[in-house]
Amino acid sequence: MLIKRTFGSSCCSGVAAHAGRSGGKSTSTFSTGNVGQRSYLLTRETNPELHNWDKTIRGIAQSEGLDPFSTVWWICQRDQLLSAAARMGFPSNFSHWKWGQDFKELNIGHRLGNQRIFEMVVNADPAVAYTMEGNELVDQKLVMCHVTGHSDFFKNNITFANTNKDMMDAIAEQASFVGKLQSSGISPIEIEQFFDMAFTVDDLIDTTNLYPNAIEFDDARLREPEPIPDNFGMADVSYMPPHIQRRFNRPEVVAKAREDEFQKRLADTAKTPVDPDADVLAFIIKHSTALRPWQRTLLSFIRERSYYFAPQGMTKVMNEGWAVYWHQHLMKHSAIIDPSEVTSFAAHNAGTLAMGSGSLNPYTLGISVFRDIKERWDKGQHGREFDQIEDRKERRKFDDGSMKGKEQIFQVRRLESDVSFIRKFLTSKVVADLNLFKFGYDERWNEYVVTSTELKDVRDGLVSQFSNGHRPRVLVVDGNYGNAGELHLTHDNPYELKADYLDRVCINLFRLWGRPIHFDSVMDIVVQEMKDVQEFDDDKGKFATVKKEVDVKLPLVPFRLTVKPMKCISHDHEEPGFQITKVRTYFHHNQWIQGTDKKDLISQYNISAGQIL
Amino acid sequence: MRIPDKLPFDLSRRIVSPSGKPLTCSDVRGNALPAQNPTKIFLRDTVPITIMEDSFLGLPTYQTFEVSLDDYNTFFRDLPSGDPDVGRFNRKLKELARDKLKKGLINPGQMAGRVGGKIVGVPVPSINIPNLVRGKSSQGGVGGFGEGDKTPRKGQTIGKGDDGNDPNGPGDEEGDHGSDLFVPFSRDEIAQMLIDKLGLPNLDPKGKQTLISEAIKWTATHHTGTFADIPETLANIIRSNISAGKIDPDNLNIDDLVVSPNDIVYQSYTETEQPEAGAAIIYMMDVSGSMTEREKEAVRTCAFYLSTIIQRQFGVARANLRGETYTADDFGVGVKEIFITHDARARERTEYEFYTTRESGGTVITSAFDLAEKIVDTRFPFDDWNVYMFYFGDGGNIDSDNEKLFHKINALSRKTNALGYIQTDSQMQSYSSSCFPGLDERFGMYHKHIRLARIEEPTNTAFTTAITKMLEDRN
Repeated sequence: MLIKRTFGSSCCSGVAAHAGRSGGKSTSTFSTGNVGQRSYLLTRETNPELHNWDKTIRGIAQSEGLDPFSTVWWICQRDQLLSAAARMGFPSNFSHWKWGQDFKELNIGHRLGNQRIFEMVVNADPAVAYTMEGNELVDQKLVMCHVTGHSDFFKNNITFANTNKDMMDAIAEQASFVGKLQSSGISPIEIEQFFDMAFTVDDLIDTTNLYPNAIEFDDARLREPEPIPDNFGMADVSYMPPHIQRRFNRPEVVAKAREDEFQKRLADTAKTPVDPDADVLAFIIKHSTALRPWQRTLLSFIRERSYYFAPQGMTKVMNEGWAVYWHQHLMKHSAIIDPSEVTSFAAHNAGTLAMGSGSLNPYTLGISVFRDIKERWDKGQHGREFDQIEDRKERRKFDDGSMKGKEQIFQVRRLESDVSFIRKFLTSKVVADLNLFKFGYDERWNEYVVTSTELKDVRDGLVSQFSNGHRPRVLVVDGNYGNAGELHLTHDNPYELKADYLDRVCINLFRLWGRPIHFDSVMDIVVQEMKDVQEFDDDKGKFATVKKEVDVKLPLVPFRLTVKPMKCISHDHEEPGFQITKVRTYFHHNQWIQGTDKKDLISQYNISAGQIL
Repeated sequence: MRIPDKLPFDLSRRIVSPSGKPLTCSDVRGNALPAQNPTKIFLRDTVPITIMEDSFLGLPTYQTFEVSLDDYNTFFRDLPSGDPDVGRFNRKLKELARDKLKKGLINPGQMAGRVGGKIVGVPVPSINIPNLVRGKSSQGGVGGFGEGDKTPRKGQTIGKGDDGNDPNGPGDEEGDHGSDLFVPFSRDEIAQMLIDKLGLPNLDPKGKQTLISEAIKWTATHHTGTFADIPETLANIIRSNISAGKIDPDNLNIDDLVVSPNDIVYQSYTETEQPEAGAAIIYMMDVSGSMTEREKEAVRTCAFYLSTIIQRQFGVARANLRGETYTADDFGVGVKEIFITHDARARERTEYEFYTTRESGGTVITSAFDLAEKIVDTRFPFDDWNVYMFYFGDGGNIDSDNEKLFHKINALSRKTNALGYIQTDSQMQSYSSSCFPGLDERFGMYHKHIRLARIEEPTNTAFTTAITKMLEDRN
């Protein structure tokens, strides 16, 4: 695949294994087919100046206490960087149109100057980073400092402790598996369609349990299988004369039938988790009846990737804040920055932290909170004593010279994730400095309005947004629902899900599971009810109470969505399709039961199985 | 050297934001207003571009801008890329567009393209991968204005909600960020799909082989010229070397071959005469006061697709006549289109004017047919040209004109290959007082040359039926 050079420096010795890896169908954007080398590895021979800067910055960072992975730098062209970014940092990814779409959007954004990606870093050991060739030196230095911050975070934050540091190899192996599938006769369109389905459900993992993310095939927590009745396997021969009865119901035959039935019931109980299980993907991979072996493997690949990327989603704000903090701090070093570069650096920095039009910039939020932590711990503005000071002026001026800021931020980067970070360390000072606000949707005017600027509301809003990696939490309740092998899922969060997306995801779950799906969720519905309404009666000339049918909005009503296969009639011919039914549920006898009244049916419609997405 | 006052191209044309000023980085960061609905002209001349804002916190937000066609083609359509999966994505888009076209006619007013051009952009809803995310009504969140003077006040509006789909209804495939992607299709391809779908017969330009055109065929060789004919030259070299006894024909060694100047031959041409076929299609539209936007939209759709189909069919027929294979470049070659609009009087128009004109007045239909006849007699004599005429209107006519119209159509039907009359039902013109019943009575629905069609509702099925009636085989 790559450059055939001899690597002199030690930091690249581990690279040969990564560099040489090319999967069967891996899309290597770094191929040597073009004129000259479009991309190259940063070594002492290829670019001595940048290599020296890399070593200098790394040395200074380590003297400040940072502990990053050793970094392997790829200097590449703009479109290669965008290709890598579209593939989440792994150029040897399998082929899919999604990378093409992301690449196109990134390209347009890059052209218009809206999103300028300067670098891309991958969580691996050694960390792999990409940067653009045409950048000015000051930008390259900034990028190196930024990446050092990220690399240190990946190495030391507790959420990342179990991520696969050899993910480059793993992804390349996945790509070569996909290539082998294609050469063994499975059509690429089928594979692509399966990936489309898998991408819609790829976030249904258990983010609270990132550690044991290998699928366990021996489930020790089983229910007791239902007891087999005594006369199972025995035919009723009481009407026959006794000497004939002896010939029926031979003990060994009956025993075998009972044993088979016991095994079957055992397997069935395995389909019902003792407690609701959040790792839906693992459950589907283990127990689905509709997946072929290669599909199971591909789905497990997707699951591995989700677990790999989950910590990044859960620590976005912290990670970016940490990297910005260090690139700001390191770039002040006289050994790194040159006076002529200062304005350029300031402009670039400001661009990264820009926050216009109200949308929240994770970089800015992260850096503000980190700076706030450092300041507070330097001045000792924390702890019980400080909390008890009521006077605002005294609080602002409090300074006991403890200078523990640096120690504290290092500990924070080790132990926290976004949710705990915001919950513990967001202060009203940061909220005021960044002009943060909580907004809500006003239905009357169909617009978004500011609802609060208080610390408590902003903090709770952020925490609820960040929880579970910005995604709702879906649990498997029963894999043998109705004793018919149907899958029963429930949704744990107190908010409504986007309805058309929910439909499409449930249809894809059906395709993956093979049997009907039942999904419990909540939704806002509008019901007509007879109510007493005060109305101005023109005839009598005064207000009078009238019984009228009024639209009543019921917030967050629990309902169950069922997906069943159904033939749809469209354009005078029959098409395979799905029927989606939404029925209100009620909590009765410790479980959720569907309502049986006609009023309880919220909606029912058919969707043809045309498109995968 | 004289320095020109004006450059032949306009350097100042850039991507324009809706306010008219060039699009800058800060515009894109959120200060520019979202695109308004462009003024409806026939084929869109601006294309929406969507930019994705940072999607790290919550749902991604999108902003859409209208970009002129030229800028779209230059900057956005085929960006140079080294990415191998962009081809996959484009192919997928093309498949989606093809499915959409197969399902039914797409309103050409929604396509992007130049009037009279060969390539149009077919809108395809953008594909995005759905995941489980928060719904609209609970989509509050946290935002910030950043360090600065802008402070948020309680109750302050910060953004407009979008018109989402009904959450209780079936999910559509509509793009959720509202903008479509435009997949370029040649009109030739669209015609091909429609012809297959509707089962239209090939055109037969009968006996119009009196037009001759000269064709130049580069299949000869000559001993002088500029481009050498390599295979022939090589053959000559080997032949002369063998006859001179210099080499052994069984083991040829390139180094042993001796080249003499006599061996080199060059490509040359011969002039031949080829039959030429020409077609003249005349479109006539009633633009009087009784035709509102609704009827005109129906007319535009039918005219656009008729034009597309006939141009392709004629190109195929012409290529067959000349003994060549039909390629996409031959689309519309040999076809001349004439556009006439009339109210009380008829005028010849350009294609652009035909599709965008608004007029009002009384209606005299024979004026259009008179003008058409005049054009055919002077410029496209029936002996040499294949003439097709199509009339679109709502059938409203001055009473005194109806008899003249029937005679006129009868007369013209002998001077044209086919004459089509399409009537849309309009709100202002009742069916019983329109021309259609009279025409139906006189000529019937199975007349060989005169084809009648009535569009009762502006639906795609009605358009398709009308187009099929115009072009079906009636032998």
